[in-house]
Amino acid sequence: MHSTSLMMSSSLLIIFTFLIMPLISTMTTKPQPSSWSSTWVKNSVKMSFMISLLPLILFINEGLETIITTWSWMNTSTFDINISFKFDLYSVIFTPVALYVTWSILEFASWYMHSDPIMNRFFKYLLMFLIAMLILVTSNNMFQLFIGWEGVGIMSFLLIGWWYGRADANVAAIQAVVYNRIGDIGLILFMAWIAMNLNSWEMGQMFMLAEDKNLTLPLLGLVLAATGKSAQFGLHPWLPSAMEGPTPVSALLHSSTMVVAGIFLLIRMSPLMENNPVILTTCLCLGALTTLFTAICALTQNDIKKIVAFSTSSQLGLMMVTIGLNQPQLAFLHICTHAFFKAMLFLCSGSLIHSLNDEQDIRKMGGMHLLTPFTSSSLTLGSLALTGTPFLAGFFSKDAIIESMNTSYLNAWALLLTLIATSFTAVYSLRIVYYVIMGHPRFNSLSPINENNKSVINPIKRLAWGSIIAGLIITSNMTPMKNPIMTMPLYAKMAALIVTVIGLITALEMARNTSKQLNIIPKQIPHSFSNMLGFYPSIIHRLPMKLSLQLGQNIASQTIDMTWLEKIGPKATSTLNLPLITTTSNAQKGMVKTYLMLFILTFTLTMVLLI
Amino acid sequence: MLKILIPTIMLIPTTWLTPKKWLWPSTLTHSLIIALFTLNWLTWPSETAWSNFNGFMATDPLSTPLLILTCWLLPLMILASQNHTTNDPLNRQRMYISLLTSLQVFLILAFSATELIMFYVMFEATLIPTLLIITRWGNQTERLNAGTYFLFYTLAGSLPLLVALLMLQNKTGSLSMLTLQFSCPLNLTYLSDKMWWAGCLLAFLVKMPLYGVHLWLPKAHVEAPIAGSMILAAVLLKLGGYGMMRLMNILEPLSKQLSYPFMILALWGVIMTGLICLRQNDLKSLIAYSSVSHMGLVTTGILIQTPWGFTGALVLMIAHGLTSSALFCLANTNYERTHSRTMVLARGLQMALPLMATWWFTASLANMALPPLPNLMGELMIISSLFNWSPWTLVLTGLGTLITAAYSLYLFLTTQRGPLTNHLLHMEPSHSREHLIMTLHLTPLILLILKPELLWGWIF
Repeated sequence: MHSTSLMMSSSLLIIFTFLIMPLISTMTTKPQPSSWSSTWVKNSVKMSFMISLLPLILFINEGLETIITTWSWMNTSTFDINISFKFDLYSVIFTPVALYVTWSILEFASWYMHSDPIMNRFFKYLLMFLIAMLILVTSNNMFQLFIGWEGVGIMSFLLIGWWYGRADANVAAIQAVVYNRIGDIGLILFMAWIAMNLNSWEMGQMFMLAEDKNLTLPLLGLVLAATGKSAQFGLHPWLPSAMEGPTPVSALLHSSTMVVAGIFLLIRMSPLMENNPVILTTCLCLGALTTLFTAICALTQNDIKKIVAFSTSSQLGLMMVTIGLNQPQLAFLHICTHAFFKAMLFLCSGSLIHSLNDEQDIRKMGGMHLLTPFTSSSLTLGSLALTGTPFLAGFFSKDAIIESMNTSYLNAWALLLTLIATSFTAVYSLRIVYYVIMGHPRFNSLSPINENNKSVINPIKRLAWGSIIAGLIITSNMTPMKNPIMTMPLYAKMAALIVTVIGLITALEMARNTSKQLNIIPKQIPHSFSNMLGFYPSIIHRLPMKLSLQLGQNIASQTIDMTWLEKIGPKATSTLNLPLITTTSNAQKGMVKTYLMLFILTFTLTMVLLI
Repeated sequence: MLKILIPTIMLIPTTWLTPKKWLWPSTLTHSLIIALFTLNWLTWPSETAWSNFNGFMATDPLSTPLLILTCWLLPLMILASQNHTTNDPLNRQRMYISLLTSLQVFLILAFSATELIMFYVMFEATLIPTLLIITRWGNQTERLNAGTYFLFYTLAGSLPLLVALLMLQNKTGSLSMLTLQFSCPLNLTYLSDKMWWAGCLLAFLVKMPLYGVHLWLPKAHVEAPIAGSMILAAVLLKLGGYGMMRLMNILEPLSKQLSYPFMILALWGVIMTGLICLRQNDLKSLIAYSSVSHMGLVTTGILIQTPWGFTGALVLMIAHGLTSSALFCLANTNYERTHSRTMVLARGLQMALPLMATWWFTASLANMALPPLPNLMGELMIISSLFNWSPWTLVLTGLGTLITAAYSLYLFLTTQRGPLTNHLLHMEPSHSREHLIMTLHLTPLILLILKPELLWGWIF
C-alpha cells in the first residue's frame, strides 16, 4: 500500500479506536466516577479530532482519495458485502468538523448536565451518536451506511427521550423515529432496487453500473430517505419536537449529525442524480418549499430553541435546493459551515436557558448583553453568520448557493421562495437578538446568571472562531469539482445580500411597532398560520393516526379477527355440527322397549316380505 | 445425529432420577451441553448439502440452524420456567421438564428427518406435549379453549397433507427428501392437482400462521406458560416455514400462479396484524400478533421462491425465533412481578429495573429490525426479492416496517418509560437468572452479525 494512503487508513483506525475506548472502559461491573465523562469521552473526542487533522492535511497537500476494503463480511453467490471505508473530499473534511463540534458540545455538556446523576450515560449516548455518524460518513457501502443511518436514528430516540419521565419527551422521541422510518422505506426501496438491478452495494460499482439505467424510481426513494432524515417538508415536524431533548443533544443533532445525514446521503449519491432532471427538480422544489415554510414557522415562535430549530430546518431546505441545483459540493460546504454556527447558537441558548432558571421563552429574557456579555456577543455572531454576513462562515456557502441559483435556468418559482426565505432568515435572527440581548430585562430577579465557567466559555469560543474563519479556510482549500460561476450581473451577485438587508430593515421597522398597537384587531390568520406551524402537525398528527388506530381496532381487530374469522372458522364448525350431534344423541335416550319394538317390527316386516 | 438424540432422550430419566436439589441445575447443564454439541453441525465437511447421515436422519444447511435453535432453546426454557413452577409438587415439575424434553426430541426428529412421512409424523407429534403444556400449566381457564383452537386448527390443516403425501408416495414411489428433487417433474394439470398442491401447503400455512388462519396463535401464546410461549414462537412456527421450503421444489410448475393469492394475503396480514399490535394492551398478545406479522413476511419470502427469498426467510426465522422468545421472557418477568399482562399496569419500569430496561430496549430494536442485526438482513433480503417481483409490494412491506417500528417502540415506551406507578414500588428486584436468560437469547443474535453465512441455507 502506498505510504500516504496507509497513513490515512491507519489514522481512521486510530480515530475509531479512540472513540470506542471509552465505551469499552464502561464494560466493568464498577460504576465509573463522575469525572469519566470529561476525562474519557471528551478527551477521546479531542484526541480523535487532533488525529483527524492528519488525513486532512494529507488530503489538502496531495489531494489523495482512497478506499479501503478490509473484510468480506458476507456474500451470497455473486453479491458480496464488505467492510469498506471511503476517504474522499467529503469524509476527510467532514470528520474533523464533526469531531471539533462534538468536542465543544461535550465540554459544554459537562457543565450543562452536571447535576444529572447519570451524566456518564448521557456522554456515552452522545459518543455512540457520533460514532454512528462517522460510520455513515466514511462508509463506502450501502449496508454499512444503513447501519450508521439507523444508528443515528435510534441514538436520537434515546437522547431526545432523555428525560423519559416526561410524556412530551417520549412523544418527541417516538415521533423522530416514526418520521425517520417513513424515510427509511425510501432507503430500503433504493437499496432493493440497487441490489436487484446493479448487483452491488459498493458505491464505486454502483456509480459505474448505473450509467445507462433509468434511476428515477430508486432515486425518488433516496429523496424520500433524505426527506425523513433531514426533515424536509412533509416529514419535518419531528425536528422542532426534538427540542424536548437536553440542549447539548439539540446542538449535536442539528449541527453535525443526524439531520445533515440525509443531505449527506444525497451528496454521496450525487453521481447517480446529476443526469436525472426529474429528481433534481424534485429536490429543488422540495428544498425551496421547506426553506420557506420553516422560515415562516420560525418567525413567530417564542421558544428560543424552537426558533433555532426552525432555522436549521430552513437551512436544510437550502441545502436541498443546492442538491437540486446539481451543486453537491456547495451543499457540503454549507453543511460544514452551518455546523459551527448552529452548534454555537444552541450552546449560547443553552447557557442562557440555564442562567435564567430554565426559561426558554424569549419574551421573558432581554437585556442579556450586559449580564452575559460573552454569550450574547456569540449569539449575535452566530445570528450574523446564519444570515450570511459577508466574510463570516455562512457567507461563503450561502452566498455561493444563491449566486449559482441566480445564474441557473432551472426554476424561477424555487428561486423566489428561496430568496424570500433568505430574507426571513434575517428577520428571525434579528428577532432573537432583539428579544434576548437588547432591551430591558424581563426575567425574574434572582436568576442564577453566571457564564464565567471554563466549560461554557471555551466551547463557545472555539465555535465562535469556527463561525468566523471556517468558511474561508474550507473554501480556500477545497478544489471545486464543478465549474464555479465566475461572472454575473451585479444585481445577481448582490441578490443574497440585498434580500437579507431588506429583511433586516423590514424587521427593524416592525420591531419598532412592538410597543404600539396600530390595528385595533390584529391580523390573526397569518400569525396563527406561522405560530401553529402551518396547522401541519394538528392535521397530520391527528387524522392519519386516528384513522390507522381506528382501522386497527375496529376493522382489523374487532371486525375481522374477533368476529368474522371466529364466525366462519371455529364457531361455524361448532354451530354446523351441533344440530347433527343433538339429533343423533337425542335419538339415543335408553328407551329399550321402543328400540326392541322397532327391531321386532322391522324384523317381522322383512320376514313377511321375504317369505 | 444419535449423539445428540440419545442424550436428549436420556434427559428424561435424568429428570426423574435426580434428587430434588439437583433437578433444575442438572437438567439445565445437561441440556446446555447438548446445545453446545449441536454447534458441531455447523461444519459441512462435504460439498454436497447433506451430512451427518444415519438411516433416517441427516442435516443440511437448511435444517441445521433450526436444529441448533431447537436445542439452544431447551436450556433457556428450563431457566425461564424455574420460578413459576417452584410451588408445584416435585413430580409435576419433573413432568414439566420431561414434556419440554420430549418436545425437543420430536423437533430434532422433525427437522432432521429425511423421509417426508417421518417429518409429518413428528410434525404432528409435537402437538401432544405442546397441548399438555398449554392446557395443564396455563394460568387462566381460557387455556382450555386456547388448547382446542391450537389443536384443531393445526390438525384440520395437516390432515390434507397426509393424504397429499400418500398420493405423492403413490406417484413417485419415494418420499425421501434426498432424492425427491431429482425425481421427474410431475404433470400437474387438473383441478385435483391444484387441490393436491393446496393440501401440501395448507398444513404449513396454518402452522406459520398465515393471516386468516392465525386465530389459534394469539390465544395459545397468551394462555401458555412461559416455556410454551417461547418454544411456540421460536421453533414451532418455524416448522411451517421449514416444511414449505422442503416441499416447494416438488410443487414447482403450479406454484408460480397458485401462490400469488397466498403471498398477497400474507403481506396484507403483515399490515393488519401490525395495526392490531398498535392497539393491544395485552403484553403477550402484542408479541404474539407481532409474530404473525413477521411470519407473514417469511411466508411471502418462501412463496416467492428466489434464492434471496429463501435465504431471507431462513435468516428471519432464526432471528425472529430468538427475538420473540426473548420478548416473551421479558413479558414473563413483568408478569411474575405485577401478575398482570396489561401494559398500563406496568409502566415506567426503567426506574425500578434499569438493566431489564436495557434488555427490553435491545429486544425491541431487534424486533423492529435494526441494522446490522440478522432480523434486518432477513427482512431486507425478502423485501428486495419481493420488490424485484413487483415494485408495488414495497408499499405493503414498507408500511409493514413502519408499523413494526411504531409498535416495537410503543411497547418499549409504555412498559419502560414514563413515571413509575405507585403499586410497583415494592417490586422484587431482577434476578441474575433472568439476566442470564436474556444474555443467552441476545448473544447468539449479536454474534450472528459477524457470520451470517451460517443462516444462509443453500446459497453461501
